[in-house]
Amino acid sequence: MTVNFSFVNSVRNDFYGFGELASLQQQASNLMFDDLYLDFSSCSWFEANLSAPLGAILNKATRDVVTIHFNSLPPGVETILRKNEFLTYYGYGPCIDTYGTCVKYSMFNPNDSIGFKDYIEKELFAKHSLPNMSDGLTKKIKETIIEVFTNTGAHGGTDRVFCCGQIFPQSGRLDFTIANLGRTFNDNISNYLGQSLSDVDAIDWGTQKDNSTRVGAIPGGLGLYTLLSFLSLNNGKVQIISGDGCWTSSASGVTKNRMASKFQGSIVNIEFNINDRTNYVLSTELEQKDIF
Amino acid sequence: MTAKEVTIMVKDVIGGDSALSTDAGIVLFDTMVKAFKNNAKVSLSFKNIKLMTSAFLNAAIGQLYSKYTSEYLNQKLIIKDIQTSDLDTLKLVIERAKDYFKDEEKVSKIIDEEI
Repeated sequence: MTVNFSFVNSVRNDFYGFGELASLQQQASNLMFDDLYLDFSSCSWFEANLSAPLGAILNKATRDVVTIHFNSLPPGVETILRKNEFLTYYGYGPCIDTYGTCVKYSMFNPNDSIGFKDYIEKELFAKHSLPNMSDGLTKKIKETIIEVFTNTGAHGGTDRVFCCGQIFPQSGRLDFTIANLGRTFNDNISNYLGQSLSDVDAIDWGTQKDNSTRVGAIPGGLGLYTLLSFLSLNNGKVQIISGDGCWTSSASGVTKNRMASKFQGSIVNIEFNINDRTNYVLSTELEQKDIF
Repeated sequence: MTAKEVTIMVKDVIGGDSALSTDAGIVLFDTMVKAFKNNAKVSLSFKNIKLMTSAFLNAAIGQLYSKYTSEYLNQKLIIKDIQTSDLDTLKLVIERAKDYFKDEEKVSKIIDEEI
């Protein structure tokens, strides 16, 4: 069987772009010993951090012995996807990241938090194009990204987690995306609650401070809360796609949308405002006695 | 007999300067439990720990509330050399753990399962 999938317009970090990836995942999910043609002839731009969910989809296909074909890649798209080394997994050569704005596409075992930490320190925080940030802000950004990675491993039930990032100097943002094809938020949460929720309401439930599907002796529930609290101060954004749910938290509040296709797994896109000059080093001096 | 005082160096116990994973947190938790079983008073030093997640702290510190009360921990456990931003996270983890374990049935069940 052959599947042809056309990306049209610009595929960005928005409802439309995530919907395109969910549609692709849905169409590619049952392929086996088949051919998958990705047609970029009508695609003018593809935001490079979205290599993470695209890679998750294509890696699963490759493991099901599906042959991937890239057709009519626009030069700009091909260049950026060679710079971040995504296309090197599909036979293309690498390309020098002249401006140091790419955070290399990579995949990890979800238990390899130290390897992931080394990756973001080398690929992200060593970039000369990153603006000067206080040590406190840098530390907080590292910890929040690692927190999302750790949560993905704990809840997704997958053996691979896919990551990629891109710095957009003109708009002053850094988008970093973590994707997996494991259980959806709703798979975990509806099972835990014993009631049926919509996919986007399940994401919303999972992002509340005191909510966690964790059972047993180790409490949970702080990972996303920490991230959301920080990004609201940073004027950044978090987008979570899982099932047909598309959930966004930004300075203007939370928006919840339903996509036409379901993404079996989750995509977490973290957008940092890299023009932030706030010093996050110390918030409050806390008494360290009797803290329990 | 007075309780023995011990210092546990987090960096040494987890084998590095990044306290990130739940698994690393469990290793630290197990070490503290060994000390408490011997009635020791523990100084837990975070010296030279550069990065720390709440996932780690949930497993290392939050999990203590499945076995011990606030009163016990205030008497037996001292947190040292922790960066202020990490202390913020630790306080959130502690709040969360207290809430999580306030259900006595949940604590009893966990203890029964261990027995």
